[in-house]
Amino acid sequence: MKLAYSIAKRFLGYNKGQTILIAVGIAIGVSVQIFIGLLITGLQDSLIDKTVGSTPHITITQEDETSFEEFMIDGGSFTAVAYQAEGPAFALSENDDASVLLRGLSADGDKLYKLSEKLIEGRMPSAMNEVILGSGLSEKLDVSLNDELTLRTITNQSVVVNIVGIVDLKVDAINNSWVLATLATAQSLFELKDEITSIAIQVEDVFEADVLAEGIMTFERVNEQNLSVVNWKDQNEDLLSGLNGQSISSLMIQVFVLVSVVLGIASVLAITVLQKSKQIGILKAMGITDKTASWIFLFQGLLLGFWGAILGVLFGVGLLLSFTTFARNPDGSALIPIAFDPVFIAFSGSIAIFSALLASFIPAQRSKKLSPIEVIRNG
Amino acid sequence: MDNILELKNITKFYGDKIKTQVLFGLDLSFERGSFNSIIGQSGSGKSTLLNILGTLDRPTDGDIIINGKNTKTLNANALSQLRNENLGFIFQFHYLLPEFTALENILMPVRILGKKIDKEVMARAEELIELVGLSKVKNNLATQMSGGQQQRTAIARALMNQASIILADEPTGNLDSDTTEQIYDLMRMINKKYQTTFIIITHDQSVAEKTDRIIEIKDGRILMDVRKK
Amino acid sequence: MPLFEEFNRAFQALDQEHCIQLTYDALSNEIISVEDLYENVLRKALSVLTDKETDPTHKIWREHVQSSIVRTIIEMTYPFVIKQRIEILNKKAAVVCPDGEQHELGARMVSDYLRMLGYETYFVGRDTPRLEFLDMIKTLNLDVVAISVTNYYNLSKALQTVVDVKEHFPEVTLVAGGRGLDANAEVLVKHDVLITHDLNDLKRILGGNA
Repeated sequence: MKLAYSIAKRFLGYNKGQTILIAVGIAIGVSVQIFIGLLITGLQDSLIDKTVGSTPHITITQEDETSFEEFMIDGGSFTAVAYQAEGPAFALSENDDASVLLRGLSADGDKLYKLSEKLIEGRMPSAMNEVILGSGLSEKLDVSLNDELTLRTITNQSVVVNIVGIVDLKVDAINNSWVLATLATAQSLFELKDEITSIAIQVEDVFEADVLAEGIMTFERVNEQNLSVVNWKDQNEDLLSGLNGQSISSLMIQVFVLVSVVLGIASVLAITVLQKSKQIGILKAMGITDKTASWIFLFQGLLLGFWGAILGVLFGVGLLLSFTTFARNPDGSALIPIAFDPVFIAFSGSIAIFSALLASFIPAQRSKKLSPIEVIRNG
Repeated sequence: MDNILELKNITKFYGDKIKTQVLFGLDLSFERGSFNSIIGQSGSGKSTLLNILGTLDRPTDGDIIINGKNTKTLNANALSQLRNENLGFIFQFHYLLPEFTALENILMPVRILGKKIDKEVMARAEELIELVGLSKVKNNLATQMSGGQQQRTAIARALMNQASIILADEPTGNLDSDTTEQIYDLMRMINKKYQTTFIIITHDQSVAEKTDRIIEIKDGRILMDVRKK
Repeated sequence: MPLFEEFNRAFQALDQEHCIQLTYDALSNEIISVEDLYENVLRKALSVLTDKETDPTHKIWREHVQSSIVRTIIEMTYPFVIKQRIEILNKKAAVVCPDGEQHELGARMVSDYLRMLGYETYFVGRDTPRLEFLDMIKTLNLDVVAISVTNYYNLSKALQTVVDVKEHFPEVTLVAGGRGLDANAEVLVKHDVLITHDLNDLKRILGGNA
């Protein structure tokens, strides 16, 4: 084995140009695979994050739009469970008025809608009758931080609230209409007592939302109160099929790059068996076993795969780095935030090594069959 | 004297569909420490005979007994080991490994045997290098040596595992007459010093006429088997 | 034998003149016969010559000078050979070395023996192409062909020549001799070739024809 390895190393070192060429060939394959794979993954992650990153993945509501009793939803797969009480209201300031949506949130609401991150000024509401407004709405009502505001429901209940924060919710329609308060504030205004109007849930793996939603549907409380459970996937089928298509084409590209790398290595190694057939013949005449002779080529494949993979990872990561460095949005953030997934990179490298090994099986088999006399006779 | 190598009723056919008989029931034996040559025109079957002697090729029928061991029953691995320990080869086109230096080529049979390259092995290699006169070029790659130097390397390599038999196929076929003379002298000296048995295929009269026994092969049969004394 | 010792001393000293003088005087004074000279002086002196295989100090140029001395002596004996001829036979003989054979002094001596035995003898000598043997036998109408092989490598050519001659001229008597046959006479004996070592052998072999 050790002998086969050192002969393989010497063979590769002797034909430096050829060796470098194959290694670079493998490296390009690996780097393309890493680049495409991580780019597509990054694109999808960013797209999904933008789409459903700060919205509920599963929403539980009463179908006839009335309130229901709050109940505990617990589980490791849920990252945020926000109990909500919401309803339409009029907002009256000193200067103007507007129709708004008042939404009272339990503690997880901040996490689910990423409100703290989106605060332009002020703080989150924490006490009764404290609210934060969408930035569009605050402009429309011409109010600012610490101003007072009167909220009135359709049933003519009204309350005076304090504006403790302004938030930019990124979407105009929401920015112009949302008023956010604690759950208790909303429950009190809408005379809901302890009841809520919906439960908003975020889950860890967004693609699991449909399965988890089905699980929730079997809850006793859900059935009792005749609640409906909706998940984001049902509502975004077009986006999902788009993402799916992208994933498949990314996979196809990776597979074809891999196939061409394997074919490339196999054909080059097949030629090296011809090139080295004289040497194999001499070694066999000197008593090297067929097994050791074939190991020479397996080791050549392994070495080429190994160095090709290392080079390829360096190329690929370099390519990604320069892509994220030079392709930027006007605000300076990366155009596509690429996830450096070390597991994927290691996987890609291992695939290259494995393919190189696989590709060297054919020449190894051929070298096994090579007879020393053939070589000696053909001079 | 005892026979180090014996052939009994060796026949060889080539080809699957159209069978061509190359050797016709040869009986031959070689004494330990003898210095023999095999002559014959090209196509006479002499190279096939040498390959069979060297277990590189198997006869269609017949027995080869090397150092008292019948090779008929040995499998490929056992044959490889037998070759490695008993036989040294020298070919016309030198057949060194061009990727390795002279010294590394000489050490290769030891590595194939699976032995460690220790001080003792190195000492033997150095002794052989001295013996064949390669001290100055021992670290040159095979391709950086003259034909004569390459053939000397091949001879030293053949001796490295203390082979008892050296089989040479036209060892001087590619060399000028002066170098031929030197290579012959070297082989003869080794024959005397280590009692190594030599079987040399040659068409070079100057080599054949100096060996102790000439076997002439014609059309796959022994035409003549004569001894100097 | 004092003559041999004196001759050998001069021979080893490469003293050509003394060698020739000694042998010429001995023949002239009938101290020795041609046969004596060939068998007991010249062959003996030549047999002392070494070769490179056994003697690393052997020098080929010395061997060539000594060969030349022997050749001169043999040429010089011609009148004595004629004088010693017993009878004249109506038969022809040729002495030939096969293809590749360069040593011809033995052959030259054998040709004198054949002359003494009464054969009309042609000395063809060294390195004669195999394919010309048949032409030679036909043209000269030979009864006896004597083949001399010194280097045993040339047995191969000698053997092929013998096979050719036996095929085309089975009636020709084939005689062979020389150092190359010392250990390998059977190679040619198998093909009905008569082996000879000296004049007595020749007399015995060819006696029936004489």
